[in-house]
Amino acid sequence: MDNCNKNGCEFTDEIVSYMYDEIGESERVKFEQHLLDCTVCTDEFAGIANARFSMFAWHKEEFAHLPTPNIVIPYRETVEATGFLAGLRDLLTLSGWPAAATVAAGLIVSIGLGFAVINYVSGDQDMVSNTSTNIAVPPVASSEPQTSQINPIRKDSETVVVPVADDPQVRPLRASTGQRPRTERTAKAVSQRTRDTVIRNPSATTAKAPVLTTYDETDDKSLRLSDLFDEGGAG
Amino acid sequence: MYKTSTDEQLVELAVGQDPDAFGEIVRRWERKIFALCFGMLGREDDAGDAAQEAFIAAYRNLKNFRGEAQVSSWLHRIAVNQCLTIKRRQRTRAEDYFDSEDGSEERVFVASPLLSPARTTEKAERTNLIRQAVGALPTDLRQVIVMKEFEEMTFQEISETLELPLSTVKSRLYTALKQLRMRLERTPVEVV
Repeated sequence: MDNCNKNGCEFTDEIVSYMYDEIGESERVKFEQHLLDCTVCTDEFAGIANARFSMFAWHKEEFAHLPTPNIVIPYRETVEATGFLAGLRDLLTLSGWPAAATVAAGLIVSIGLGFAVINYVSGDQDMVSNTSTNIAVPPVASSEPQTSQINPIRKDSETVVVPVADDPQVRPLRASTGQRPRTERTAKAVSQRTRDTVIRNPSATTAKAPVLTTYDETDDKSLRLSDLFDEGGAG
Repeated sequence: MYKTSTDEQLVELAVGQDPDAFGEIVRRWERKIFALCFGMLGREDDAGDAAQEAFIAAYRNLKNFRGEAQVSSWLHRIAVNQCLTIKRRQRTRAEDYFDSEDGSEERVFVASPLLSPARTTEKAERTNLIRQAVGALPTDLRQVIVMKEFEEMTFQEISETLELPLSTVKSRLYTALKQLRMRLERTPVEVV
């Protein structure tokens, strides 16, 4: 009675164990002794036993006579239902000659694809080259060398001789495409050199050189050896 | 051939594409699983369907069985899930054979063939009330009481199957019986 009150009983484990006869001998004796002294537990035990009897009756009336249903496992369908993933997994876990055959087939397919890609790419390149050869080059109408039109850079690098005079002192001028900025000092030196040339060779003033190019001496930005001499003299 | 094999050995054989091994598992457990499903669902045809689906689901998931739990635990878990799925399906179709879980008596009850006007008897009415009271129990309590009364399992077996302490199993059973008693006392019916 010590462990029980109106709200419940601390012998709950013993109540169900005793009711289903799954209690040890010592616990059985102890609990039976407790039932004699505790009306709460006695009432509780009676109510629980009544509920259990209801379950027992239901089981007996509706279930006990029922035959066990025939459980049919559709093995084939079950395997087919999981067939795709299982097949993929099996394929990845192949061993022996099936694995070798699978690898060989994969290699053959890869090589074939590789050749197809190479052929495709080379076909594109051939088409590009054919297209470039088919570009119509307009005929050269002038009498000038064809190379001068095709490669004007080469013309710039050539030495252009300006026949100002037969005077050996007249130095040949070299056309340049240099991008070096022309300083003011260099421009003065060039103009001074031109004046000196005219003074030293008076006939050059009367003999007019034919214009072969559109070269403008004042735009010449190259550094000449004479310029260095002039600068040295000036300095 | 498989009589001496354990459940775990049978599962291993079944994983190795041995249908007979799984057939032996079915033979061993079909009655208990059917009883569990009947106790959970309260109707024979639903219980048969649930048991069938449970075993099919178990077969499909054989490879997922890690052996960490007992085969009985695994099967019971699958069966209870199947029962809950069927109950959910029934609820959406408003064909729940049990009464509502909150025990409201106003809920529409779809009568079984046993409760047709011609065959209504006092005995059947009492059984019907018991079924409703069991159906109104929470799932964890109902599972324990059904395993005890319908599968006739011991406390130790229930404890191992549900992977619960023995004291928890006894406590749940006590609570289930107590709630069942209270529900039945609310609607007293003369015991035949």
